[in-house]
Amino acid sequence: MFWLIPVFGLLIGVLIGSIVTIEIPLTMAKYLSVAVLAALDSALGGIRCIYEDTFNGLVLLTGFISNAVLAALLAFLGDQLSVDLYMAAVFVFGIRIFQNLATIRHHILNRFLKKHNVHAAQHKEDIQQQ
Amino acid sequence: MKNKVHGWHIYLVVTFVLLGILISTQIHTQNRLLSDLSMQSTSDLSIMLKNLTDKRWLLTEELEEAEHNLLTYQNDYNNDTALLSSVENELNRLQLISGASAVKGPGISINVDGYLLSSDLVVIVNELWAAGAEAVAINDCRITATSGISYVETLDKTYLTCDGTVIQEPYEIRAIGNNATLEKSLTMPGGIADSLSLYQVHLNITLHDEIVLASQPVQPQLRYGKVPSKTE
Repeated sequence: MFWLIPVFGLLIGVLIGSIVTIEIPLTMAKYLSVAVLAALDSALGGIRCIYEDTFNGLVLLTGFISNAVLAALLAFLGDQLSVDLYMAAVFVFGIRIFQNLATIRHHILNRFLKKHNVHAAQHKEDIQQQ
Repeated sequence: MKNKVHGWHIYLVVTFVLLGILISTQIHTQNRLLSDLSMQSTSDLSIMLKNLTDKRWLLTEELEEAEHNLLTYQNDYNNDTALLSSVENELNRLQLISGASAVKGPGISINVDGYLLSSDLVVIVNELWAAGAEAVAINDCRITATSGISYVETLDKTYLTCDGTVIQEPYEIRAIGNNATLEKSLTMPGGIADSLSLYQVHLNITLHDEIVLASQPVQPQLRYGKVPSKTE
């Protein structure tokens, strides 16, 4: 039941964020949205790594923070240069999020199918033996 | 799925807590953004501006109407006040004439020394009215429109009456008006003072700058007379 951990953490985080309302200047809202996107990508990447047995907590945490901050900074820089790097960040992180989700889905499906196939094979054998 | 790094749960929990905080902050900021004026689109802003302008005009019209009403009411009030004061003046005038209220002003007082007939009293009062007296009283009896001066006789003496009430001697007649004119009307040669002096009746007239006449508290009840309407 390891998937309870992220859900639980997410709920706690949302709760904290609701109780302690952090007032961000409205001009920063755009950069925050990119940061959220980057953070979401990192978190999903972390979950994917758990499935792939390459999980490293430190890598996840540093990646999470630095990705979020860098994405926001990049978007800010883009605004300063009047280049829509914001769009690039949304695009890239959007793709990565979908990729991560797809990978996670594959892993879950594989595990499920493996179990199911084992059961099905055993069942087949049982029938044949009879 | 082996856990190669010790305490991976903690890292995961921390990451997701941070993610949760970020997401809820972003939602909160987004809500603020939606309600913030500087973040609205130009078309929305122009619609808002139009609505607000319309509303402002409506309110301006309302204000003008209210101010107009206020002015009308103030005028009405002033008119009412003027009407009220004129009514009050008229009421005071009528009360002075009818004797319903006490009256003060310049005037004369006449102390009668001698034997006076009721007809003499009537003549004196008539002379005073003719000389422009605005109020006349004999002792405490205020002479009004319905006053009558007469006398009653007993076995040994004749008493003068005013409105059916006996006037006790000494008689003092008081009148309000131009005191010099009032005095002259009585003391003119061949006048009432001269006539009475033939009968050893002397009028001692005193001029006053201010003299007070009491009111006639009992006003006649009108049961038959009515004011005719203006059209008749």
